[in-house]
Amino acid sequence: MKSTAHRFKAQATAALANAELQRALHKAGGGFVDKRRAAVAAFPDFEGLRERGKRIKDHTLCHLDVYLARFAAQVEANGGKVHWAEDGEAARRIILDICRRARARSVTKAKTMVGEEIGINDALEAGGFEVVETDLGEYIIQLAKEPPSHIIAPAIHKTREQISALFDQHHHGSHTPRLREVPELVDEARQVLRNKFLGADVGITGANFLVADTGTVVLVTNEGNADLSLTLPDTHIVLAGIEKVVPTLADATTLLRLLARSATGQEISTYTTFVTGARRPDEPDGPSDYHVVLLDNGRSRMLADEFREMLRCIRCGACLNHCPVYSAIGGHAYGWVYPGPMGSVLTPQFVGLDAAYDLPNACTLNGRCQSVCPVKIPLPSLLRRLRERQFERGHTKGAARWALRAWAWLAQRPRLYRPLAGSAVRLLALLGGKRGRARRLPLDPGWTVSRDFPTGAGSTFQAQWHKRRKQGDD
Amino acid sequence: MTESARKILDAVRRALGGGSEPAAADAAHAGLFDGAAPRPVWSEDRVERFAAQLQRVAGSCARVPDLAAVPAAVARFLQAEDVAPELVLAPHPLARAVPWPERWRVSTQPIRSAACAVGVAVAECGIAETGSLVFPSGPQHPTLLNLLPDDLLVLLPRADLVDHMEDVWPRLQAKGPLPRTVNFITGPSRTADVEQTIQIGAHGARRLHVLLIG
Repeated sequence: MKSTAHRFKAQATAALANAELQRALHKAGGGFVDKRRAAVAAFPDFEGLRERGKRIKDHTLCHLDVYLARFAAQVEANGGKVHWAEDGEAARRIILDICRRARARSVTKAKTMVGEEIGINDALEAGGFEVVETDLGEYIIQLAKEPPSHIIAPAIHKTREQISALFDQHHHGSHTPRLREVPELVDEARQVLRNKFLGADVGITGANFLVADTGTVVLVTNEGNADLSLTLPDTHIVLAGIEKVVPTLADATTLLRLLARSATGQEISTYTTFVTGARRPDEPDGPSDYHVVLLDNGRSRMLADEFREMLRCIRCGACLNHCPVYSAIGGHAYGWVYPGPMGSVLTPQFVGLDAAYDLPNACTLNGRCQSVCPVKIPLPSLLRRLRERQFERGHTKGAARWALRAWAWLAQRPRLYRPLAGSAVRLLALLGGKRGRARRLPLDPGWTVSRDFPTGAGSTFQAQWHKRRKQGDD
Repeated sequence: MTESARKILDAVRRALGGGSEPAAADAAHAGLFDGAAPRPVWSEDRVERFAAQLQRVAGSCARVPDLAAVPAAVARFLQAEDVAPELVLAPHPLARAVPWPERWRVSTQPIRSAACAVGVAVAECGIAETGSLVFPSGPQHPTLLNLLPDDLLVLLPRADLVDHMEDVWPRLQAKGPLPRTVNFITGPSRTADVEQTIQIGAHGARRLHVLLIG
């Protein structure tokens, strides 16, 4: 997928002005947030579970070479073939080769974000294969020819009206849309996709976890589409990033408990599937041709640097759901595969820090993402580090650079800083008056277009601190 | 090992400042935690917990004393859902041992089509923690039978209920190497992809009914 992250500001502005998108985002609203909160509250020690999840991932990353080699050896011992892809190009070539050798015509796909990362659909279609997304959300956006806007709810930006119109056009060749209820839409997709499942030659899935100990691939869906995609065709291809590996089935179980609760507030996803190798001689169904493609694509580079912690990510989407920026603009404005806080850390690693300049800056650093992350990734700190890098490398330009420099100069001179800061907060307080909020900021009128500026207490933190200490002493 | 495998593993080792050894990884893993992972707890009895969890995910459960009582319970379910008694059985001794009424259409032919109304599968075990059913693939457990029918009926002896997800693995591994696929299925298929509204019956079973035997 070609990145448009460099156009973030224009895209975010357009998203805010898009009434239909705003309606869809508003409807999706706090659903995920409320469900997660209830599931977490019902669990006896969710903090302990998060800590454990974090440690499992940290441990695995520390010994990643061992666990990857072990996983690969186990898959091959169970009749699978493991392919290693250094980048997206290599992965696409491997997958196309497998499809050609299987003499495939039709490929069914269960949702895979790594598939989006390497643009596998376009490559398969260019290679002459029919590609059918089978997760309902992915199917909807495939019809709309759009990328996903959320990592677990790809069509969250679509209204029922838009989905009805897409189905009318693609299933019935009709351009006079008829608004339908949710059950009718889901049932129609079920009928259409059932035939696609039955006619598919290759099934492609992602992986939620790879278990080194047993060579098992763990997959979760609520629809059952990954299971149909992998069971019906004679060839199954798993596409997974190298960071997905964990040591044991017990470790995977701990992470599954975190994943379902953090993603949708479920205790377990409806279909949680453990795949260990190819069809056995005595089995009535399942693929006899089984492949696992392990993708690096920049992950080993992240392992080496200060963004290693991002490799703990289990793609639950909780940081998106709890982000005020994501909730206001949706996923497409971010311009690449991974949106929201996790995307703002990941996208610069893939498309370059200067080509995704606005992403680390489109964050209020409120910290909600970090507080809900099931593997405790310090997303705000990582975003701050990206901002520092941007400054160091000279990506930060113009007034922002000048202002940061001026502030740094001042902040290192407390005798000057203190009185100046004191005057500034007094001036602000005057501006806010009794309400404590300013309708307009003199130097930055843009800030107050859709909100007021809170003008603070009228004295600095240090001044208040001294005052309190004094009162305490008296 | 292929060229690209070597390149990726070398890059990983460089990133780790030299890489690790299996013995070192295993030793570190063994010392990672003291005690079991936090997991759900409950006060009710295992059967009650399982039935309650299943109900929470829109599945249903009927308790029958023995195999002879299964057909009547199935008849009640089919009648309530207004479904004809045309069953496809898993080739499992337990499913065959049920005294199915002669006037019902009962088949053990493998299914590979869309036209399968009611499937009768046998679960390897049930998980009280989540209300899940465990289906290992194998000659007695065709995977497609868990996925294709509109209605999935599941036979589960009460003695085969376990408490937590972790309890499944030793059970399966005691029988030999892990099967090709193990499905944990928790309720009927669902989606929330249209306006975040939960809709039952996406691609898999529309209804899931468990017959808890014993």
